[in-house]
Amino acid sequence: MSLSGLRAVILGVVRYVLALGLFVMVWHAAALWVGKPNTLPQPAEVFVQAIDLVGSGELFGHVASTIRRLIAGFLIACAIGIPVGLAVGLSRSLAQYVTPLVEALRPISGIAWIPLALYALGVGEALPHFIIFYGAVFPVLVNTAGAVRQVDPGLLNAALTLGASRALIVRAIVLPACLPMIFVGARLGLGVGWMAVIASELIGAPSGLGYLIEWNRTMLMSSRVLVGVLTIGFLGYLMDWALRRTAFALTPWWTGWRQHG
Amino acid sequence: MAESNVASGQVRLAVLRGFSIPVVLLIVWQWLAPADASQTGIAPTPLGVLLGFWELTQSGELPRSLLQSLIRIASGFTIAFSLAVTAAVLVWLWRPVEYLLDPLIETFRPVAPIAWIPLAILWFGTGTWAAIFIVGYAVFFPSFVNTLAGLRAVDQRLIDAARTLGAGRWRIIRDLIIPGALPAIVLGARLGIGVGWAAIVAAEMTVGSKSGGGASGGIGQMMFIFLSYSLELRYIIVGMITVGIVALTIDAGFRRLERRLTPWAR
Amino acid sequence: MTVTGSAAGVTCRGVSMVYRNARTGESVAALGPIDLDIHPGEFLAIVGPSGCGKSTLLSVIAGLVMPTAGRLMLGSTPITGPGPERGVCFQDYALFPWMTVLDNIAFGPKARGWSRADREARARELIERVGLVGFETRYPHELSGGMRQRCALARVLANDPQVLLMDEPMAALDAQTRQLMQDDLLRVWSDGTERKTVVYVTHSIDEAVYLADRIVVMSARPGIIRAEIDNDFERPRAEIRTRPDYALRIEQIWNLIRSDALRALSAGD
Repeated sequence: MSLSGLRAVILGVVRYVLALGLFVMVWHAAALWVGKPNTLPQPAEVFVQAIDLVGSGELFGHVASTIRRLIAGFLIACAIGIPVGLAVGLSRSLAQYVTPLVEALRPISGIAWIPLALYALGVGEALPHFIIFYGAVFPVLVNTAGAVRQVDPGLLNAALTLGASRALIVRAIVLPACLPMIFVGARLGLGVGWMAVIASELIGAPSGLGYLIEWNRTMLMSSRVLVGVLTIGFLGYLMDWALRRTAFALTPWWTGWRQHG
Repeated sequence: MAESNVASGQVRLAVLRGFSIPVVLLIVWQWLAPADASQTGIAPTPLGVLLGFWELTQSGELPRSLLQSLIRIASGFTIAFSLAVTAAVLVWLWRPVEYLLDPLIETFRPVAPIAWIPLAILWFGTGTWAAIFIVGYAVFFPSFVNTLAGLRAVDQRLIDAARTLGAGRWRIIRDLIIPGALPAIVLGARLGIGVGWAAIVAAEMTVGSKSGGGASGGIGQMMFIFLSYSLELRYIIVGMITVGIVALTIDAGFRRLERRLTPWAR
Repeated sequence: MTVTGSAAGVTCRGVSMVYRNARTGESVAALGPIDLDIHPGEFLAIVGPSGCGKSTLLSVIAGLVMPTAGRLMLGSTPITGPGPERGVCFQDYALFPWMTVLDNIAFGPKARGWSRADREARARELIERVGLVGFETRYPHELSGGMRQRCALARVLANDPQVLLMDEPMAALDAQTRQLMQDDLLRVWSDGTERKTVVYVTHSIDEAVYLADRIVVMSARPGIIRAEIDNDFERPRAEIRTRPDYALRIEQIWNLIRSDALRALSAGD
C-alpha cells in the first residue's frame, strides 16, 4: 500500500476511534446516572459479556444458526426471484399475468406472515426459511424485472445492426446489462432477509441471534442483549459489504455506483 | 377509429390476464381451506375472511387495533423524521459534526430495527413507547441518509450562480437548497415510514407474544392473539390484509406528496 | 441477405414518416417524402436544421424503424430490417460496457458465427487500422471520447458492411479531437481495398463539406430534400480549410438552411 494510502487508513481509524470513544464515554456516564445495570449496562460490562459469549462458543453457535437460515432463505429467493424476474422483464404477456399478483402480495411484509406460518409450519427451521424467502424474493424479483426493462435500447439497436440473433442479444447484451441492478435487488433482499430472520427468531425459533437476545431479555441480562444486537449489526454490515464488493468486482463498468453505493 | 379500438382491446386483455392467476388462486383457496382452523368453526376461506372483516369491524377490535398502530407510527415518524432532518442539516453544515457523527450513524444503521425490540421492552416496558422507539429507529436512518444526500446533491454551480446574482445566505437556503433537496427528503420519509410500518407490526407481534394478551394493542398483537389465545385463522388473515392495505395507502400517499411538492422533478 | 463486402448503393423512393399521437389522434409528419439515390462508394453527407428528420432517415435506412410510406433498397434488395451489411455508428457510440475493446469489435463476427480464432484475428486487424493498438483489453469506460469513436468505427467495419451509416458520430467530441478524428475517418475509409458507401448525418456544415463527395440539404420538419450539392473537392482534403471556395460552399449551404434554422430556434426545438 502506498504511503498516502496508509495515511488515509490510519486517519480513518483514528476518526472511528474518536467518534466511538466519545460515544462510549457518553454511554458510560448515562449508565452511571441511570444506575440500573439490568436496563442500561455499562460499556465495560458489555465488553466482559462479549468476551464470555465468544469464548464459550455460545455466540458462534447462534451466529451459525442465523447465518445458515439467512443464506438458505436468501439463496432460494434468488433462485426463484432472478429467473422469474428475467422472464417477466422479457415477456410483456407474462408480466401482465404476474404483476398484479406480485403487487398485491408485496405490501404484506414477510413479518405479517409469521402468525399464519407459525400455525402452518410450527416452530422449527421451515418457519424462518419461509419468512426470509418471502421477504427477500420481492426486491430481487422487482429489481430484476426492472433491470431488463432498463437496458439501454441503443445497445440493443447496435447489436441488431451488427447482425445478432435474439438469443445472442439476450445472452451477451441483456444479461450482463441487468447484472448491476440484480445486485441492487439482492442487497435489498438481503437487508429485508435480516429483518425477517431476526423477527422469526424472536418469535418462534429455539436458536439463533434473535433467540439469544430475547432469551437474555427474559433473564434481564441486558449486557448480553447488547452483545447480540451489536453482533447483528456487525454481521449485517459485513454481508452487505461483501455483496457490494462482489458486485463491484463483477461489474466495474457500471455508472450507477454513486447512486446506489 | 380502428386504432383506438385495438389499443383498448389490448388494455382489456392485460386486465383479464392480470386477474386470471389471483382468481384461480382464490378459487383453489376457497375449496381447500380446512374448517378446523378456528374456534368458531368457520373456515379461513376468502369468504370467511370477508366475513371476518365484517365481524372484527363490528366488534370494534379491528378499528381499535389499527388506530393504535397508526397513532404509534405517526408519533414515531414525527419524532424520528424531525431528528433525522436536523441531524442531516447539522452534518451538512459543520464538518466537525460530520466527522464525529457519521461513523456513529454508519455503525448503527445496519442493525435491523427489529433487533432492538427486546432492549426496547427492557427500557420502556411492553407498551406504546417501546413500539414508538422501534418505529423511530426504523424511520431515522433512511430519512437521514436521503436528506443528507439531497442536501449534498444541490449543484454547487447553482449556488454559485445564485451568489453571482446577489443572493444572500438565507435566500439561497430558502429558494435553492430547500426546494432542491426536497425530493430526496420526501423520498427518505417515504422509505423510512415503509420500514417503520413493517417494524411496528413486528414489534407489536413480539410484544404481543410476551405480554400475555395485555393492553399493548396494535395490529401486530391482534394477529398474535388470534394465533395463541383464541385460534381464529380468518382474523389473522384479516390482519395481514389490513397490514398490506395500510402499507399501500401510506406509500401511495407519500408518492402523491412527492409529486405535489416537487412538480418539477421527473 | 446480400453478401457483405462490396459497396452498394441505397435507393429511397417516397420514404416518409408520419407519427400518430395515440392519445390525441393527431398525426405529425416528421419526414418526407424522400426520393434519394445514394451511389455505391460515395461519401454522402446529410445536413439540415434541428428536427428535420435526418436522424430518422438514417434509422430508416438502417432498418431500425419502418417508414410509414415508401420503399428502400440496398442495391437490388429491399430493406426490411437491421443487418450487418448496413453498419451503424451511433452518436453515443453504443459500445457494450462490459466487453473489452477487442470483444466489442469481435462482436459482429461472433454474431455471424465466426470461430474465436478468426474473429479475434479480424478484430486485431481493425484495431491496427483505426489506431487502437495497446488498448485491446481496456473497457469502454476507460477510454477517451476519441478512442471510443474509433472503437465504434472498428466494430462496424469488422462486419465489412456494404454501407456505413453514421449518425453525428463526432458530436460528443471537443473541437480539437473532432478535427483529428475527421482525418482519421477519411484515412480509414480510403485505405481499404475499396471505398465503402458512407451516409453521414451531421449538424456541422463545415464537417460535411470537409468530408463528403456529395451533400444533401434537408428542409425543416417535415424534412424533404431541398438540394443535392456536388462537393467534388479533390482528395486528400487536408489542405482545403484555408481555401476560399471551401468557405464559399459552406456559406452557400448555410444560406439554404438559415431561415429553417431560425424557425427551429424560435419553435423551441
